[in-house]
Amino acid sequence: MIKYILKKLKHLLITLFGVSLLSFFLLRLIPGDPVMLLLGERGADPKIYKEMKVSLGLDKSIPVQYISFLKKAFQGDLGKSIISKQSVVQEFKDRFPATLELSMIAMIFALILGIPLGVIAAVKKNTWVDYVISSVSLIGYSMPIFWWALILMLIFSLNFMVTPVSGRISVLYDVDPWSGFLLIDTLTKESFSQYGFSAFWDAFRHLILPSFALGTIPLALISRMTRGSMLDVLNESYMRTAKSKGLSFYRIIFIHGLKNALIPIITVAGLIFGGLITGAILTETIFSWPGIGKWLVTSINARDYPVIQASTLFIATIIVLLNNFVDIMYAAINPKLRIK
Amino acid sequence: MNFFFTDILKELKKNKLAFLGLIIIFTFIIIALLAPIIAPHNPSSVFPNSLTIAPFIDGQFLLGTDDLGRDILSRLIYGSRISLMVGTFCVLMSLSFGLLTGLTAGYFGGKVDSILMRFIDILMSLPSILLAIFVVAILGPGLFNAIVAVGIVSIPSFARIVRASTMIEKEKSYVKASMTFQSSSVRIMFNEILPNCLGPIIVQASFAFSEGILSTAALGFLGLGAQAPMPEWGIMLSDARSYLLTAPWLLTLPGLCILTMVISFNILGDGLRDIFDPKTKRRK
Repeated sequence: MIKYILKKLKHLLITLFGVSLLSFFLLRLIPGDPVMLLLGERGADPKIYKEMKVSLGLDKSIPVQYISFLKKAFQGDLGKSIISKQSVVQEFKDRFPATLELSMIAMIFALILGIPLGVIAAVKKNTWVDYVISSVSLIGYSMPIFWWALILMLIFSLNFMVTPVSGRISVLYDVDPWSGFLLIDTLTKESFSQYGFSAFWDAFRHLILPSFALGTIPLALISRMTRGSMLDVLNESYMRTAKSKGLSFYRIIFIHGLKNALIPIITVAGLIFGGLITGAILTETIFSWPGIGKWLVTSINARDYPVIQASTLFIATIIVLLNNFVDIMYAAINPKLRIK
Repeated sequence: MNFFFTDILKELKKNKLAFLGLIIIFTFIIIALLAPIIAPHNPSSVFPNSLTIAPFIDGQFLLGTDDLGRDILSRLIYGSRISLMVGTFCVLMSLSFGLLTGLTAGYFGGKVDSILMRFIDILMSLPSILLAIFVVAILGPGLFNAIVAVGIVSIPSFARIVRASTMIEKEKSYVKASMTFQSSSVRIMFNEILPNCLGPIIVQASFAFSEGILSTAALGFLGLGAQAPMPEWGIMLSDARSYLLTAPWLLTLPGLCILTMVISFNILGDGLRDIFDPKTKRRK
């Protein structure tokens, strides 16, 4: 096992190295002069131009530039946003909790609904119940979520007005960002004494549509996976043994069946969670959710290159770490995989 | 080779859902090919006297018009051309690069394999839209660049599948026999191994097609793919955002088109996988 982990760590380091290279070359591959891109019209002044070039280290050779880029990155310095003039790392820290909160709620929603649906579809295999669940999950995982999110918004926010249209919380509430998770921050002593449950309820209402939209594809994937995995398990001999022992139906399905079927599902859930970032880019743009997805899209439209560079580096690193963690956990559960 | 495809078709006919997918795809292809004949108007023609007409009201504009007075039906018909073309190019691009990488890595193994696969790992670690955004940030927005970006994103899945099948086929006796005849590596890879890995590749191509359509539409929606007057479904959705309440049909129709096309390719892919991978059949 240790050997496997070491091998994974070696791959992890190489992959991270590649990701950092990609992110480093982003600024240098864009057609045109990066200094002019960063300075805009002010770059026309040769003095400012030269200062900027030296401060970016662009007067040095590429390998030297890369090493200093890495050094700075480890010290938490990834440059400043051209638009807001704020440190990119700080901007990321301000926005990341919003994305994490949205993704986690979406994932919880997908797991809580997806696993039971999958189990029901497997147990009722080839009945109309199975057909309905399977068709809905088929539609779900083919769903263009940017369209789906707008449809949800049209129905629930604009027509029935049961949920807010955009943002994380109404402007009425001035909640102190203690953890960055509004569902937690609205319940701190201070906010609670000021607003009671109303702030929490308001933040929760803002979460409903975005997390439902974002959770749709994971929900479909998880219910499909659960169905497949459950059907595999139902054929196993220990299930027959459990049945012949005269155990109750629910005990057989949930204790003996689901427990074993869950292993591949948890793995997939880990991978889906990384993929949620992609969905977050679209969902956040539509619901004006102040997370890293919206940040990235805004910065591309504004050609804010330091932000693009840093956010791709952050997001890719998070996903690489997550995927490797999932792999190692999976190998810990399933020894067969370690040999590969 | 011909037998191969007629066999697949025969098997597909047994799977009603997958066959339905195939029929819908063919219908889309025919609509796309005949677009200039069946579309009632030019997709970019503007009718200033008929702005935002709802569907099924005016016989001249069966599915209504948008905010600029363009015929929606015609735009949707021409949009199918773009989507099918996008899917085709994405698949062709990722398939050819993935095939080369996978065959080389699987056939030679060792160092070559390690290096190529690390490269694939890096590509895989970036979520598809992020990688696409990265490419678009370098090349600038546009339909072609979006296709390139989305094509790159699908390379890893092809490479991995081809590599896995190559490693299995390599050990079989017919390849060993070929090696003893001292056939060139390229010849063995393309003439002997490749035809025997076609199954999983076709399955993956079907999924990559739907993924390509979906991602390119998403990029178009974000303003990073196809650009404005083009009748692309993602752009039509993005334009519809300003008229959610006043003209909801601008939103529903292009979305339904994307959804239908993506579902068709996905169910076709599912059906093909059942044919090539007997293990999944058991679950039916």
